[in-house]
Amino acid sequence: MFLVKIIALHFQQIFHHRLRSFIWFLIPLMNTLTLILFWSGALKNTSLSANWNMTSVTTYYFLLTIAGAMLTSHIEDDVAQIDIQQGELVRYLIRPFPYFWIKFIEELPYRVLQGSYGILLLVFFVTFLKLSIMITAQPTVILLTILMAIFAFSISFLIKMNMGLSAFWFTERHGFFETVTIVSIIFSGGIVPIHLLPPLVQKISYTLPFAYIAYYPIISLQGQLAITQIYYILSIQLLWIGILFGLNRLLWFRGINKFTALGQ
Amino acid sequence: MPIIQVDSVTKTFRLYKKDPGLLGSIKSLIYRKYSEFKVVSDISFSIEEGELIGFIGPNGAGKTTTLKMLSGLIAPSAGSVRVAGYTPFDRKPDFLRKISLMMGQKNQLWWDLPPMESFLLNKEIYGVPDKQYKVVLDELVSLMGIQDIIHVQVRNLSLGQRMKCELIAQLLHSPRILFLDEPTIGLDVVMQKKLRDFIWQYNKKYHATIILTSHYMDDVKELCKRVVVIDHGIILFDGLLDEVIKRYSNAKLLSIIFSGSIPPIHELSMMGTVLSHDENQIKLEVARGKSNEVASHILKQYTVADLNIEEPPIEEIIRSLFSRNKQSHVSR
Repeated sequence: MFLVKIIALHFQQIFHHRLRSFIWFLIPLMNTLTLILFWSGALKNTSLSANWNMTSVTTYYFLLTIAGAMLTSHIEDDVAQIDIQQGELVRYLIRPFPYFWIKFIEELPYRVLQGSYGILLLVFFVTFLKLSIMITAQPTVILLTILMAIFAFSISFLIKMNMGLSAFWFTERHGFFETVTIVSIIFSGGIVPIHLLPPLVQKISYTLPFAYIAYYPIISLQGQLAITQIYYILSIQLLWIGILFGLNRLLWFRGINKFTALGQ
Repeated sequence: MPIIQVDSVTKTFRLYKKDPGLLGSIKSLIYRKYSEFKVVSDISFSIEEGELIGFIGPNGAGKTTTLKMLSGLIAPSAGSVRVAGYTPFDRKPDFLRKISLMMGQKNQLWWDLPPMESFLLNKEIYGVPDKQYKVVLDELVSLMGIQDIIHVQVRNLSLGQRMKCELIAQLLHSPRILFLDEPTIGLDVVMQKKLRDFIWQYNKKYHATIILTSHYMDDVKELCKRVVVIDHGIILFDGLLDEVIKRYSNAKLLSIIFSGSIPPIHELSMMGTVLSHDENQIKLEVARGKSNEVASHILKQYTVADLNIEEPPIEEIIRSLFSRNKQSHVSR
């Protein structure tokens, strides 16, 4: 119960910044609209396959915007710069609540709010602009996709948290963060759906965790995965969560010994 | 049994030293020189429950590092620290519920929401029962006199009001031990006094153990009977504040108001050091053991309207203590 209260209190803080949050949501939306425009030209008189036509491509990019807003965590700079390098970690360390979970709770309302903007926008486009989209109607698939989305957020959160914790050792982090961001955009299906990429890039995507953050939850909701495939993806997601969480604990316990609470 | 026990604690930081200029930067790409920097060196002390003690020292003396070790933020490089029966760096939730650390001008309140929301967050995080929360909050709010601002956005509060709210946020879980690092920094004198009064009352009412660091000697003079004087990571003195004066001041001050104009300065200079003088007043520093003798001599020789024998200001004594320590460091 107390967790619900803590989360609710954090929602209050986020609602105060609803407009700023909306602007942050609009930036990736512009990229999405550009990509849809590109594909509408490319697929004017043709289809990629039986399953991939303009409707499925449009749906993919709209869902990608929602997934980017709702499932992709952006805490790495907060953790690295504000908490570790500027020493704000102090105020978390003196409280009887784990840093990992309080950061998780802090991040959750942002994702919910941004994801809500995406859903509202999708409803607006479908209702008023008669946008044609393709989403599965199978309740089991929808429920499993929600579970997949929760796992996806957890993977994203863990990756970003671990990146942030690298600041215990490195003062210059921007190059590293930017590299990971670029790699994650490509291999999570952020530019082109992964199955449309060259076979080698597809193979790399499947061995990295990024595809499990956006690509799979999207195509699952589009009804492009069989139930057995969904279970397989869920198990791979759990495996990644386990690996990343183990790494997180290792980084935290090693790093906290190096923390000097500088500037505090 | 002491509530805080510090035995032979040393804290060393490893610092990278860069050679100056572009060449130094290029060299640092291949090879970096690190040196060990001892911030706290083999310090030991103990504190009994309910004590309110002052940590005094110049910048970089090791005060805040000591507080960080006591509150579990950093681990000592050597030695042992026990606080309320716990090793602080383990940061056990039960330990964290017993302590509070307040760092001057560091904000833990939500900037865009009223302080009340931050209080509620702390209530949940510390697991304070509803009934206890209400009683403690009412009491702290009335002690601080901030009933009218707890529903105002933090960004609209003055620094003094924010500091009061910060302190309340830190005390809602009724900690047994309080670490206050420069709690009055940046506040005007009126607000400093109010905060000091509050700390004093909290210590008396809850029998809380309080360690205070401050650059303002007034904080220490008004609140602390016992002081720990620290410089270059070494404890120079640990004892009653009055003891510092007795031990480190060899002089006393005579403030004399003459009925007429002051006698020739060279006559008075023979008895001590003239610190200041005007038309009919003089301040004379004399050896501690000779103060009575000099006073009676002056009373006999001159027409005196008023004469006071005073201790030198504590600030002066502490300053001279630090400069003595600095010289001994340089000569080492």
